[in-house]
Amino acid sequence: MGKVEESKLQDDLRTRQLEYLVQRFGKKILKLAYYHLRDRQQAEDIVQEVFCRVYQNLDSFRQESSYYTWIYRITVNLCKDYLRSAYYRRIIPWSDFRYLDNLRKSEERMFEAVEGGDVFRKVMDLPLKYRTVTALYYFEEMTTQEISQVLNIKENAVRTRLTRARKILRDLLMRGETSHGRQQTGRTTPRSQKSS
Amino acid sequence: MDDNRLEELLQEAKNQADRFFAGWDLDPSRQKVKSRIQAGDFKKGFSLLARREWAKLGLALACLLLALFLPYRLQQAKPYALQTVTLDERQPAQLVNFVPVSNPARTGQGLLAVLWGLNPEGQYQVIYSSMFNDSVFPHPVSTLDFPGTPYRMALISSEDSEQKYLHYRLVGYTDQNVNTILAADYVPGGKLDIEEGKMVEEREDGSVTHIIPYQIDDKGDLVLSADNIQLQIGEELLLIGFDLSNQVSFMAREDAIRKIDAGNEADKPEARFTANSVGEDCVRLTPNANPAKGKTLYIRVVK
Repeated sequence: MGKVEESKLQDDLRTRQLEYLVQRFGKKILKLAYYHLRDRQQAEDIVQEVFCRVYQNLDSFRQESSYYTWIYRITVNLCKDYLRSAYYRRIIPWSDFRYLDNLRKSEERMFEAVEGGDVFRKVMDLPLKYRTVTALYYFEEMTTQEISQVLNIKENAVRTRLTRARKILRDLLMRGETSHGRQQTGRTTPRSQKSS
Repeated sequence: MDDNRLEELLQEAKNQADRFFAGWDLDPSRQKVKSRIQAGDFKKGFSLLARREWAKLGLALACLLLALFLPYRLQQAKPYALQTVTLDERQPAQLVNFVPVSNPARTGQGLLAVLWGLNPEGQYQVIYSSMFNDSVFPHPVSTLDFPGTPYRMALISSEDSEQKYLHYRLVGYTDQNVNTILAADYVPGGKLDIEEGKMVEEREDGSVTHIIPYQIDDKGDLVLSADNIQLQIGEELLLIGFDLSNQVSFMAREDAIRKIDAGNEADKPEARFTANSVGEDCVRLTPNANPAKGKTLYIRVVK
């Protein structure tokens, strides 16, 4: 077999492997990226980038970890890179923000405009480090050990974050219930008590 | 709300999440991956990721450059950069902006950094401000966690027009109160970084200082922003307190590090060490008011 044919065969093999991985992990990766970024388009871009990197590095993947852990880690690292990027840090010309109050509102709901379901939205309103562990544990039904591998943190840290997340969430949900109750009775809800 | 109710709500959240993601189609992403592979287009990386944002970023940069370089433009104290930071996980984000100002007693351009927080009425008010002399370029504000507390510290910094000097303030936040933990001006050729619970200051002469803040929480426990650290020989470690109200004693084994700059500890809630030999070491921080609630920082020194 000539070198050209051999190379083509390898490319075909890699393409088929990639197809399998996209099929198997694509949706999970998309959700994982969304849990980090809360922006569907950016999450889709991350998915593309992840699978391009997977394709490039399939040959060097040594199976020291499972595909699952490997691909998830690439995703988490790309999301972290994005969140560290200058764009995300949002240095914004003053002229874009005439009213600070508008910014506060946009900060509260600056990501996906519609996250169906108020309890889901509350989970998504958690700070990043608590949001990711909560989503992976409760929504994706991963174990604390799996989460620790994916996020590359200690299992104890996962448990601590889950405990803390539950505490914050409980407060958020209770505030939400209180606020909701007041709105039903027709009283004004002070802004500081709004649930989001 | 008891645990069972919380579990029920989390199950409800899962159902809502499943419904939310149910309509998402992976096919467009799959097709784009395919076409990128066919085109051998692997180098775009984050430029592809941020392509929709380049236009916005370009516009933002243009505005910033205009603000910086148009003659007489900066004579008016008009803020030109704004960033949100979260200093209390339980509260809406705070805001930092930089206002260009000219100090009448000095030549050159300065920046006034202003930190805004929401008061209980939901209105923004200034909770901190600091003047950065000879500064033109504000840096993005980074934050540093105090694990186990909802509070974060913020590193606010800027550079002069020739990028020779750095100026920075590390500030801590509790309930609308902001304390300056550390301030430095005219750091030559400096580089600042926040990583793994510590701040790292590098200078032009190659000196590196790892800065780990600590505070005493509501329960009287001493909280460190990191519980272990790796140093290279010659690097320095600075442990610094959130405020002066709590006196702390520092006790090091001094196998691999040596205490320097002892000064009058009663007045200074800080201690500085230098890494002088390869090995492991530790520093015990003990609150004088409650010695049982101390904390140990573990240190590894490498070449």
